[in-house]
Order: sequence, then C-alpha cells, then structure tokens
Amino acid sequence: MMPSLAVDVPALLALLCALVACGTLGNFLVLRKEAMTGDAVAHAVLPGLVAGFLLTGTRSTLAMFVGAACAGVLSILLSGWARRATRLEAGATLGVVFSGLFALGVVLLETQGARQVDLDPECVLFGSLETLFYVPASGAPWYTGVPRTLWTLAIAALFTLIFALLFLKELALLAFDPSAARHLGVAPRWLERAFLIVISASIVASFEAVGSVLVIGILACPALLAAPHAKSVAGQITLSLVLGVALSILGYAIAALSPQLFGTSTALNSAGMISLVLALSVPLSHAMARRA
Amino acid sequence: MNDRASPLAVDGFSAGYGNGEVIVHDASFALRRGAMTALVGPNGAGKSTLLKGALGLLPHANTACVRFFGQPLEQVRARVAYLPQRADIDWTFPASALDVAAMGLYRKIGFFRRVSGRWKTEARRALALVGMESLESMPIGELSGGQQQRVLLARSLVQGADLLMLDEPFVNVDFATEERLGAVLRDACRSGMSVLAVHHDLGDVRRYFDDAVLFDGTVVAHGPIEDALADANLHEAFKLGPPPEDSIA
Repeated sequence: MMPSLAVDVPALLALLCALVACGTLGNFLVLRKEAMTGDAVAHAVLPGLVAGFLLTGTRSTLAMFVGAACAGVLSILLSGWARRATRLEAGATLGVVFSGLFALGVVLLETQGARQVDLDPECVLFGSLETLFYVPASGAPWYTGVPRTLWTLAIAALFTLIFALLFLKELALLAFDPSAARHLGVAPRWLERAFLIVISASIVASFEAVGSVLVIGILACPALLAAPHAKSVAGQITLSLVLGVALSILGYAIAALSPQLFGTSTALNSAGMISLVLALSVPLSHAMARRA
Repeated sequence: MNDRASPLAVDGFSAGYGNGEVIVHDASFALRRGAMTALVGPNGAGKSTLLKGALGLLPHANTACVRFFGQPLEQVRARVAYLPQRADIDWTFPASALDVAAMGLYRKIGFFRRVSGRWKTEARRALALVGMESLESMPIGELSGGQQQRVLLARSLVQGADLLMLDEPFVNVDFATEERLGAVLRDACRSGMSVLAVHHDLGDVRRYFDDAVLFDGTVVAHGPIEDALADANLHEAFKLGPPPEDSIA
C-alpha cells in the first residue's frame, strides 16, 4: 500500500517534527537521569490547557500554548521546590506534583464544562494524527492546505534544534556535572529555565497531534535507545533521532496495515502502536549493546 | 585585584541544604597562599558542605562572608576551580577523556562556540600533566577510578585557576594514582596555585599537605599541619575523649 499524500504524509511529517521537538531535548533529560520530568510535564500540562480555554473561551493555539507552558514550568518548579524542601528523591516529588496537577486538570475539565470542546480523554491520550489531512483549496498556494498543527510542530522542531545546537556543550556539562557547570558559570539559571521552557513548549506543541502517551514515549525512548551505543552527546542525539524516526515510521505502518496483518476491522491507533514499538525496542537495544 | 589576599577566607560562615538544618556553623579560617591545605574531620562533619557552600552551590549559605582573593566569588570565578566527589558524577556519560578535560575550558570558550582544535590542544596538554594523554579518546566509563580522577584533575588544571578546591580527590584510587595526583598538586602549588582538598586519611595527610583545617561542623583548628592536627585537637574533633597526658605535653 502506497502512502497517501493527503493522509499519511501530513501525519508522518507531524510525527517527524514531534520527534525532533521532544526527542532532541529528551536526550538531556535522560542524561540527567530525569526522564520522569518529561512524563511529569506531559501530565501536568492538562490543567494549563483547560485553564487556557476557560480564561479565553477559545481553543486558539496561543491560549492553549501559554496555559500549558505555564503549567509545565510550574510543575518543574514545584517539584524542584518540593525536592529541596523535603530532600525526598526526585522521582517521589515528581510523582506527587504531576499526579496532583493532572488530577486538577481532570477536575477542571469535568466541573467547568471544558469537556464540551473535545478536550476528551481519547484526544488527550492519543492525539489526532489520523485527522491531519493535506487538502489545498483548488487554485490556492500549496501551503494553504497544510494543517495548522503541522506548522506549529515544524516551528517547535526547528526552534528546539537551534536551541540544542547553540547550547550543546553547556547542556551537556549541566547533565554530566551540574556542580561544575554552575561553578564555572557556564550554566546560569536563565539557561536552565530556558531549557525547561523550550522542552515544555515542545511537549505542548506535540500534545495535540500525537497525544500524551506518545509524547512521553518520544521524550524518553529515542534517547534510551541510543544511550548504550553513543560515544558523545552529539552522537547520542543524532542516533536517537535516526532510530526514533525509523521506528516511528515502522509503528505507523504496522498500525495502518493492521487489517491485513492482524485481521482487525479498522486500522489501529498509530500513536499507540508507535509508542509500543518504541518501548519494546529499548530493552532490545540495551541487550544488543551488552552483546557487542 | 588584590593578589596578596588569601585565596579563600571565610569569617563566620554557615551553610545547610535548605531544610532548616544548619550543617556548617560559624566557620572562620583563611588559606595560606601557595599551600596545600587538607580539610579533615569525621564523617558527616560537613566538609563537603563547607566546600559547596563557599562556592555558592547550596541554597542556604551566607556567601557574603566568603572572600576569594579578597573578593566575592562572582568577581574571580575563573580563578577558582572545583573538583567534586567522584560519586557526584555520572560515569556512564557519553564522553571521552579529552571531552571531559576540555569542559574546564567552556567558560573561556564562551557561549555559541565549538571546542575547536586550539582548545583541544590545551586540554591535551592538561591530560599530559596527569599522565592521561595516551587515553584521551577512551570513553570515561571505561577508565579505572584512578584514571577518571586524573581526568577530572586535568579538567580543573586546564581552567588555569589559582585556587583548586577538591572534594576527596584520593578516595577509591590506588596508591600509584594517589602518588601521581599528589605530585601534580604539589607541582601546581610550587608554581603559585593554592589547594584546598577534603581528605579522609589521617595516616597520609602529612605526606601531601602543608596545612590543615580540622573541621567538625565548625573549625576546630587551622594552621600548619603539625599544629592543627595535634592530638588534643584530633581528640576534640573526633570526640575521642581527652588525649593521654603525655601527648598534651
């Protein structure tokens, strides 16, 4: 079956952009042993999305974006504060903060009527890859048919790549030896905050298209796949993106061909299948590295 | 710039981790220029906290009473190098020995610039000082504990600092590495650098160090090693009860 320009290409491009946006900085989270931070942000953005809608009354990209970015940054600041105040380990404080914020989001969704505007649980979990169509109006320029979500994702991917390239060595040192990075003055507070803002923005931009399950998957899995084989930070990022793209396309193809492969009545959800393929590949990659 | 001032002087310094518990109380001492000073004391005395607090790496530390070369740290940051405990570092990190040594140059290289050939040459020179030049392309995770410590020391040396603050540099290294690290530090001191190192082993502290700060939450004694580590002081710091009569005399 050939991929369709109208249906498959926009979905695959959205997937590629989401992978670059989340997967690039996901490497630094994994290197900092903070992969759970991405998980936390992906859950914690929900009250921000709902609050963005409640305050503006619209589902405009900007309102959702600002609300979710604020919630994402809030979740990281809250967990950092809780860790310092209690000296509990990072995972414990993150668990409390992100489940608390996610619960707040659900309460807002249920009590404030926001659920009327298709912020439904399915959309939150699995995104909307299957509804991204490229349909240019006849006679109009080609770009008029590109879905808004794809533009948002492309900008997020480009911005993230530029950020990572500009601050590669500083972010690497911050992950390797945070005390030395802070002492040397190469990782000032603004850089740490900028990192959190950019990664929160990438998560939010990807959320609508690929959903929270796949956002969590593409934040951590590509980096975890590449980590046992990498010799440098730049090498790890490159390998993670190459493997992530290849496996995501494989997952998308399996989901699309599921009626022929598994005899299902309809194609399976692509975000769910890609998450499954990525997650299963991680232990395989580590096993291969141990054998080598 | 006050070049006659002590490399590190603290006066009434206190520090903690921000949960209300103060670990370093009212510490006061001034390092001697060009000396190798050991920071010794019992486990849990707050030696690492003192180091990190003075460097502004803790949320709660009154750094206003800390002076490096007579100035606040921010004014002289490039002149102070810090080598953390081995346990604070992720040794599975994807980097070679040369990559790690070059990290000491990041401040000089500045934002938005790559580690070019010129900087790599400087990092290689520092690796040669600690005898690690032949292993420069080795992933750090595949080096022994002693080799890793030598790479970290190269990272501190390449910074070109005048004060080196090291947190337990001799822990988990074999005798030959300890001797090598000690010799490199002594050479650095001879060329004008000052060293403050957290040190555990009272048995060999005299072999490497000129001065000592004996520490148990606060400064118990400070000065030339024979005076600072006199039996009476050690008994007080390590809570061993009163020393025998003849050692006081």
